[in-house]
Amino acid sequence: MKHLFLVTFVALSSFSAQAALTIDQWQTPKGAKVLYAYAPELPMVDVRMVFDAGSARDGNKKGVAYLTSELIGMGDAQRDEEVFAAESEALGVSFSTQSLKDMAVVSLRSLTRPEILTPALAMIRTAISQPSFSDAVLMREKASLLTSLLAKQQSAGALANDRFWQRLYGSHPYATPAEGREDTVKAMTSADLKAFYQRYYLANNATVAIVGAVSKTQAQAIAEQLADALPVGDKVAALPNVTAPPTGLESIEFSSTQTQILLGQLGVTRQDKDYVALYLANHILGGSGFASRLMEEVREKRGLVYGVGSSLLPMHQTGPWFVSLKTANANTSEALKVVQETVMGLLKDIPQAELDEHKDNIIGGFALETDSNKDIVAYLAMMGFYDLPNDWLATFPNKVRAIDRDTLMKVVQAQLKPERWTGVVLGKPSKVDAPVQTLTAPVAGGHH
Amino acid sequence: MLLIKKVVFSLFAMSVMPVYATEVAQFQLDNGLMVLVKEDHRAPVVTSQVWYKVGASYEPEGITGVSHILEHMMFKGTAKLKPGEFSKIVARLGGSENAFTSQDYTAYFQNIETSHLGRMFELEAQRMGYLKLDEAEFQKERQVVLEERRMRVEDSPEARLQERFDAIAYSVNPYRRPVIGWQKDIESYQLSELQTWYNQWYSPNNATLVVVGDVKPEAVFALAKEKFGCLPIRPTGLHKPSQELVPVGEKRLVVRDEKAKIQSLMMGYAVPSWKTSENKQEAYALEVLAHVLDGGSSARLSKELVRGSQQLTRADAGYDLYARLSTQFTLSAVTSEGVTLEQAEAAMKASIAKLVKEGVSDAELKRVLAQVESSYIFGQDSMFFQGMKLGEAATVDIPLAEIDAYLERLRSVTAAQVQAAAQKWLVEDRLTVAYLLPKTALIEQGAKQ
Repeated sequence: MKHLFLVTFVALSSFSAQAALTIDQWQTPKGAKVLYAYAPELPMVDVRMVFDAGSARDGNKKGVAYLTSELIGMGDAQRDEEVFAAESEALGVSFSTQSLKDMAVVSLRSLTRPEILTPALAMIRTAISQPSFSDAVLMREKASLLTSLLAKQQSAGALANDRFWQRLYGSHPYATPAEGREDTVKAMTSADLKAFYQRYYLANNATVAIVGAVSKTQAQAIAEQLADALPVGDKVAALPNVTAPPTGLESIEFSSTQTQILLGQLGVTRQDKDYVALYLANHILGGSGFASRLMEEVREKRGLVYGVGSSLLPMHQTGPWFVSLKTANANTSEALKVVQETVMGLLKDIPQAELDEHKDNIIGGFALETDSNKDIVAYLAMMGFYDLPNDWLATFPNKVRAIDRDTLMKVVQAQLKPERWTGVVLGKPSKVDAPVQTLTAPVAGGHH
Repeated sequence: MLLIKKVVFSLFAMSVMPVYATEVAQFQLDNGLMVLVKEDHRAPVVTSQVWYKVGASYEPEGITGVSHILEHMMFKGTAKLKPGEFSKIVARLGGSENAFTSQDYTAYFQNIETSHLGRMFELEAQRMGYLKLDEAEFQKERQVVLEERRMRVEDSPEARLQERFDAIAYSVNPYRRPVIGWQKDIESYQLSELQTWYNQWYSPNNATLVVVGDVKPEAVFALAKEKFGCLPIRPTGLHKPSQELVPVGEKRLVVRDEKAKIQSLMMGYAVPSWKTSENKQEAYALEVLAHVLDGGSSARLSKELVRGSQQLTRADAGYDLYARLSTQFTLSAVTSEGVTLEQAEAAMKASIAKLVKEGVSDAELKRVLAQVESSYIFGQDSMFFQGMKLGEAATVDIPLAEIDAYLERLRSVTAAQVQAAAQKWLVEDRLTVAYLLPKTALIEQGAKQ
């Protein structure tokens, strides 16, 4: 098909000004926090419930948050898991649960046609409020989880990552992976899951984010139908503070062609006043792909890696700020040196032009952050969970714009402490020119 | 940049019910560039994608992976742009960008605020017509690709299993070679080979421009004409005809990996794709079959083998309906503790045998259709995903009308047709079985290389 158009100029976009995302917030009668945004364009709705019930709440039973979350949707007072799977999938709804360090997430995505949404909500209400945690299902899921834990042992990346968190967080609950450990998983009982569920899956420990083609009245009903099916309980205590990790690198020998490198320090909490400045600093260091310094230095100039980046993860308690990369075993010392120099370089200077480029990228790309219901519901749930103000998202570009070079340098110099960095090097770097011992030299700055 | 091993759409399949069909505007420039535009006005952004009809399955022996490394080099400068400048400009404008290579295509994209679309077209037109391949940049990029191969394949037991499986399951079919290329080939490319590859396949007449977002088609067409219209038509490379061998019996292989801690199984039956199928309805029946086996927790593999007999901790089925060449209907699994791969294979085969003997139920077909319809709506939440579907179809030459009729076609598949497809195609002679086993100490001593 071939058309010829004689168009001199037609406005490219039908938008003159994009209406800002409107977020409504309220509480259900039982105290669940609800955040809602109306998105009428597609005949579907996303509901994301988050609980302060992540693996940080495991206590000694490492993996209990993960297994509890896993077993929601695998049998309840009205339906065994076969019936639940068959009925929910016959409606075409997508239901999933996820367990992170800070939060447990329950997600539902459904078409909004009443003949689908009405039974879907009724089904999910029972699934989350009356889970059965049957012994038979738990036994099977434990076996499956043990296989996953074993699979981690064959992945250099997973091993290095787990070891890095352990090193950074020591005895803090963030140290252990959400999946738990072999010994603790083996010992887990359905009574453990029930106790965890009863303590943390509470209406007043929940945030419900709703985005889609449902009215506010409908959203109110949905939130109540789901969250208020849960009991009210005691307020969950704050997580312990994080203490400083040991400095220096730990080398672990592993049979792989590449060496995994993770190194970093403690970063900030979600509420930290320096978060936006550090977000910008991390963007420059390694948080923006090919626009970042690390990608330029380690990949573009030297071809040492396929990917390298840095992550600043704000959490309830102080989250990590770290660099990760993998490189051929033989390149390990060179790559480490370049990373160290790049991190040190951030302390020295961030030229105005470079700062402007990054601010332009963040501000100019902001519309992409909320161009799908999936993105919006994730933001809403995060904002509700961490008690951020409702305009947090909308004002983010302005907060970035407001950070000048002086402010940025001051924050970077106050927060970035390469001399205290800690890290993990996992692979076979010893096989090559640099003996393992030399890699345990200070990461940067000449101090240990 | 990203590399797609083989995109299997069976679980995220594109479906378009007539009632939902959203208009895709189509337009072709005089130089042959095909332009597809789909409006989505939910946010003031756009995804702009350029798709080339070239990928790993076009490559001759000796330069496997050349499409992929050329994709990397497309960021390394043109007559007007310095190495890396492309990415810097996109970043400065707030865009995100990347590229991906598969067996059947190579594609480049930017997601960006709508007002910058013209600039994106300029940049893409630059590298479509005037790529500058530089020796020093090439040598560095070769190292990057070798790192990518180490990361994706060498250090991943399951990826090594997949690579070896493809190398055996396909005999003549070029899908037997990895998208990223064999290591020796990566080490041996000459810059002139990349130049030849570029000259052969990078031209407006071998490309499709896909735009999804807050745009009006007429405006996009005008803009495309302005920015890409000046590029000349170039003759594209020639395909030598090839035909896969007729399967004559089961093939088997074992991969022993010293890192492997768990056992996994990969099975594949040689089957036609929609493109290569003589009877298109059979291809759709295989698509439904893949959903019956693995379309969620209530699907057969999970129900029978993960939850029922509990012999497997994971079980997947896959079928690439829209592959350019004939493909494999795959079944893969991780075994539970104490279950051997032989037992896992027997269990998988028993599931297939049951299906062949007893067929599928109406409830199963209904569930598949409900899921496919929902995933079509859910898929519309992502502009990028919508662009992917269009670009892929255009690039493997599947008529848009056919893509549009996907759900309708699945609806027309009867239980008897699914059963017949299983009977005809999921047979021993067409089967390849691969085992991934941990390398035991004994074997390590006995067969040290």
